[in-house]
Amino acid sequence: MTKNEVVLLIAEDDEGHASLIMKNLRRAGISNNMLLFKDGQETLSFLFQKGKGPHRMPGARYLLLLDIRMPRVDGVEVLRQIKQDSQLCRLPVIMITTTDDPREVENCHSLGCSNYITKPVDYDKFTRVIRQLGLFLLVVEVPRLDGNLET
Amino acid sequence: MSEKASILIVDDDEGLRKSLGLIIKEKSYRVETARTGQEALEKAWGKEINLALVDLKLPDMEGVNLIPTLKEMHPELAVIVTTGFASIETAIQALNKGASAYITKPLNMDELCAKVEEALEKQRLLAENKRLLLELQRELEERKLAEQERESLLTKLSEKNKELEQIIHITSHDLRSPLVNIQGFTRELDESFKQVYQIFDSKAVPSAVRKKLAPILDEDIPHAFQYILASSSKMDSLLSSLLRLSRLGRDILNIRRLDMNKLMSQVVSSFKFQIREAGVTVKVEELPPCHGDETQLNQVFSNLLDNALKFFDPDKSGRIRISGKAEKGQVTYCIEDNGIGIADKDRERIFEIFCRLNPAASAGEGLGLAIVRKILDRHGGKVWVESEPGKGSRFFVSLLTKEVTNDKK
Repeated sequence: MTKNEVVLLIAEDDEGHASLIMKNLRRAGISNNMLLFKDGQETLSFLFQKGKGPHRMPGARYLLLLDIRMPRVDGVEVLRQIKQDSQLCRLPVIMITTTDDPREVENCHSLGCSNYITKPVDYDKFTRVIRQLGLFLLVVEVPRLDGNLET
Repeated sequence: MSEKASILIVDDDEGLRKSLGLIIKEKSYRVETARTGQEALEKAWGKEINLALVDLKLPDMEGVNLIPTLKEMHPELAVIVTTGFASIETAIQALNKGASAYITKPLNMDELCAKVEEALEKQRLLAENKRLLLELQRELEERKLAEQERESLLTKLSEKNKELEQIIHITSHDLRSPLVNIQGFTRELDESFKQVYQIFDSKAVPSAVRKKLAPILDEDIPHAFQYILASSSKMDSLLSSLLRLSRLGRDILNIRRLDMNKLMSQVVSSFKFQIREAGVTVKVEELPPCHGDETQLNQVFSNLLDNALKFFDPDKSGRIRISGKAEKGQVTYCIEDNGIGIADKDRERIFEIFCRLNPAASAGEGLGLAIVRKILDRHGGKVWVESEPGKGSRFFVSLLTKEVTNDKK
């Protein structure tokens, strides 16, 4: 089983940011499938297999890039719900944020996020971070999420 | 009592009333007389009466029983009881009902006058006492109100301050978001143009086209990129500083005793490179300890040292001296330089947010000293500057040596 199978979930309300993240992931040599969600609600619906939109596939591997500030349900709330769920809590979550507010960082770490990156305006730094992320994806063993969730 | 006191004589003996009246008038008191208890009440009604001389045997009632009613009308009234049938019981009864003195008949006029004066004096003192007490009470009340008002203003102020910090925080965050796109996509464009250049360099492009495109590709586009990128990174650093400033207000202070020699040597060594670049000598004297938050005070002295290094005079060899002394529960540190100095008119302004006296000459956002002042405000400390343009500046930082902070957190 190759690690390439990991599907990247990108929860990001700003289309520009999402596009930049994806472009740079591609440029950093990451060819995994990517799924984009425009807010926290969509992300939760996908993960918890609720509502009309697409749902996650049982047995698949995912990694979530989660923007903190999003309309409807924000990233911190999404993270909280994921980490409270007995299945989803194994999903690696990388928080992406516009500011490196130490309180926010601490909060997300205490909720159990795997990593935390700041969206730098400095493009070079940004690329570096994304590349590191790419490396992270290649190296880290992403757990497989089991079948349907208990309801 | 500046006015003449008014005395009411209640006695059924007409002769006594008249003679008493005369004697009392001589002492320049005003006099009212009454034969019966009923008449006494009528005379006392609605008039200013300071003292009543009441005979215990009245035709219509016991004089003792007149006292409470009279006192009801005039709470301050002094009462002297006169009687021809003296007994301990009647005396005690009269005093219990509120009489201040007791005189037996036949009246000794000297004694009477003395008692009257004594009673009036006592009354005057009591009234004065009461007035002072009331005044004191009112003053206390006023002070309490003023204190309450101050408290509520302080609360409002700190709420407003928090609100402002919140606004700064949110706006700088929200402004940063589009900036990520501006700079990110500018770089994307740049990448795309690199490909265009590659095509341009290939032999397939006719020389006529090449000639037309050359100035655009070689000059106009890189020029535009340069400005967009420089401006967006400028904006980014401004927003970051604003965010830092807004966070300062809510960071929890970890106040403890600080070894300032250690802290200052850390600060100075973090500027090693700039110090060598600028060719400045930095001399740190023995520094007394103080109480404060280590991270924030490190920031304070870093910003001050950074400024001293930034504004040195290129025509002379730069010298920076850091000293400190402790006195009366506080420590004052001084960072002295022989740099370009600060004009009088700018001495207060430099601590304002985004103040930059000479934007072209130095880098920075104009927040360094605003941050210094904010940190010291939260520490209950102070920062000020003495300076002579052309000769140098001395920045003073004073801090408390004891663990006292005016911060509510």
